[in-house]
Amino acid sequence: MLRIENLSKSFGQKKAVDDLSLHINPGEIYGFIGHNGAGKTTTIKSVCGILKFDRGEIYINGKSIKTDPMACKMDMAYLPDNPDLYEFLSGIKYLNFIADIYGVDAKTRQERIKKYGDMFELTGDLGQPVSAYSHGMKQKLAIISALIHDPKLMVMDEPFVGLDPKATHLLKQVMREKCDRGHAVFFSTHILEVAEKLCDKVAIIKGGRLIASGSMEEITKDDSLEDVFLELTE
Amino acid sequence: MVFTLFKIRLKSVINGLLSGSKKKAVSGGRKVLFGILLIYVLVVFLGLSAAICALMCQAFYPIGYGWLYFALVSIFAFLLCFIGSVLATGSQLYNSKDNQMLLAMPVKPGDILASRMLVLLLENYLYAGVILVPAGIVWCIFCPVTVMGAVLYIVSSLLLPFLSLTLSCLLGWVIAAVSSRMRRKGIISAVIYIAFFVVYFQFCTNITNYINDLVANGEVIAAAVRKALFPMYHFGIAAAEGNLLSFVFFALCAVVPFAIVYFVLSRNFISIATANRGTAKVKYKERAVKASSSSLALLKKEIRHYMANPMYIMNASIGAVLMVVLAGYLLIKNGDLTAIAGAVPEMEGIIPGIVCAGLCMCAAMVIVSAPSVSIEGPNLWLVKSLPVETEDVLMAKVNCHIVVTEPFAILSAALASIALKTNVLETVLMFLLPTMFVVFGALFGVVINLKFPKFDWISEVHCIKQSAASMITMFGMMALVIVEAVLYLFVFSSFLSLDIYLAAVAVVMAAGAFGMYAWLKGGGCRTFDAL
Repeated sequence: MLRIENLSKSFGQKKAVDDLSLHINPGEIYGFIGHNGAGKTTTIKSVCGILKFDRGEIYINGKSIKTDPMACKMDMAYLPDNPDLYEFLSGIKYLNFIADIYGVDAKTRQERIKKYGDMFELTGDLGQPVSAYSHGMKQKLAIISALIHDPKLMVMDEPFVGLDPKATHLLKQVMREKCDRGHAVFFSTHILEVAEKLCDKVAIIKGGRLIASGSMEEITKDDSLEDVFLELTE
Repeated sequence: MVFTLFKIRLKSVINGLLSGSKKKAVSGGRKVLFGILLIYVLVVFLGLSAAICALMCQAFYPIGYGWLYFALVSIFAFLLCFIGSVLATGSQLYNSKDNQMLLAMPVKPGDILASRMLVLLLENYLYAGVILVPAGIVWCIFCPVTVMGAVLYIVSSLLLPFLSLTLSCLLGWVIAAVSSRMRRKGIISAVIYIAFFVVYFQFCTNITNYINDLVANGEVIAAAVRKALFPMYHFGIAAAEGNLLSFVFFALCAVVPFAIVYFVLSRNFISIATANRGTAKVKYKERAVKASSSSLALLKKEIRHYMANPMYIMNASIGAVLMVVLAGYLLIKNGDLTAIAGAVPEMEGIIPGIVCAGLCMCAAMVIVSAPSVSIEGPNLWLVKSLPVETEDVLMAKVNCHIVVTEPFAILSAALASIALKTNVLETVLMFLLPTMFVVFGALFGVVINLKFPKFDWISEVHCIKQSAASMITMFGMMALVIVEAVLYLFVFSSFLSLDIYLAAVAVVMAAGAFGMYAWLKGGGCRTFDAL
């Protein structure tokens, strides 16, 4: 579903990502962990076509983000670490805008807005301008907008930040359901307990380089993910 | 502490004018360009101001109403300061994004307020200077000057902005509080502002009549000013006669209310800055949704952004309103034009051309597309991550400019054509040329904004009102109209009729617009992708 091959990206003299390769198969929830400034967000933004990268290739569902960005973006959804959404729109207008961009027909979008709006208890607030939303509400709206076109790949940067425990639980459930249907989820997190329980595979990045990746069992063996992470990133 | 905060604030304002994206330092070329723009603005506005002052000075001094000259000058300066700062005051003082961050630091609320007020005061000095500096020079040229009068005029001029700042701080607070509770606040605020501007425009166009009335009814007007606008009366007496007592009275009128307002606001700054002025909660009722194409969705998004921000409407679209005001004025004052055309035979054939040029000048003042890239700000990730072509994103910005401006151009062209009873060619030009300026301006704004982007703004006001892109677009477009007029007057008028020349201008503008469109599709898209 997602293939990152030898990705490198520098900002001036600083190498943010250095020769990083990752393969994510359909049905996998893939966690991406690392210290602050390790290169997680740069990798994620490169995957989503927001950042141009210097070297390497990124394939989404077999298509290159370099040569066919539109087709790649149609297949995925991106959830940023900070949900800066269009504050001049109401929640429902924002969702409609996103649905229009992805070409979701009126009936399907209505069903999905109802389904996820009710699930995340945001339906009643969809008439409000986004500017009146709390951080958590914006995060929920961003999640609903990411789900509105039923993407094959969800790429999320710290998706649990700002969510209440119930919404966190629901998001984890949604992630699992999507992967059970053959979709894939790639997300970064600092909450290692969540990664350990939720992810099928995990990748650890340090100083822009991938230092470990594989299934949870391969990485942790008999230790906890926290112990392994701390040992590897010392 | 106040000075440190003031420096940061001032740096943010200056940065807003000069800098591009946060990744780049301010280049020498950008500084030179800004310097040229500043000189151009100063020359135009100071020149206009000096001309009006000379007219008033020559009218009042000989009849012994020198003080009324200064009183009127102070009223104009006060109004300019007030208009210039009242809308920015709310966002800079009470709704600034860094309020909560600063309030969480060990900084006195009064210091935060004082630093913000100092920046506003500086802005007010710039506005006041546009009128008070030429007014002083004009007085020196036409009237005898005493040392005391000159000193008191300078000190009074330095105190005058305190008066406007006091009022704009209070009104800014009211506007911020009221408008944030309104739905459709953008449109409502814009209507209020436009109504105010129409009155102001009416006043400016009739200034000669008013001055004649003032001269004819000098005593009555003077008595009214003395009674109703006593601070300005004392300003006038202090400057014209060097009266120290009047100066003290004026100084007290300027400083004491300011001190009271500062004291009250600093005491309540935390509650004002952190007040949740959210609109009444709207319960969402599920109803059928409509699907649109992605291009239409992008256009609707741009229009909604424009409509949601009163500052955007007021600062970017005043030219569109002026177009209709100008055409409406022609319709009402048609008789005057006929009289002018009858009295000056040379004017007969060219009045439609002049009006057409006037409409183009108004269209040139519309800068809806100029901040449209910068205004994406923290939302830039959205359009970049969505499956939309960059060309569609940029064209939505161009089309938004055209959609919100063109109806005004068509309406004003229709009104002007009716008023002037134009022939077929003149009517076509009346519709075509302003439209070409609208389209050209829409493309030019986006091109300039791509060259001068700014994403590190604190408030949207900064990139709408104070960014290099907005200023270059507006003054660049206005300069284009002036250059075209000058070229006709000094080069082409001898062998081309005005109608033919205007048709040629329309062709040149169309070619220019096509050139910019071609660039946007290629280099423009690459520039946007690299932002």
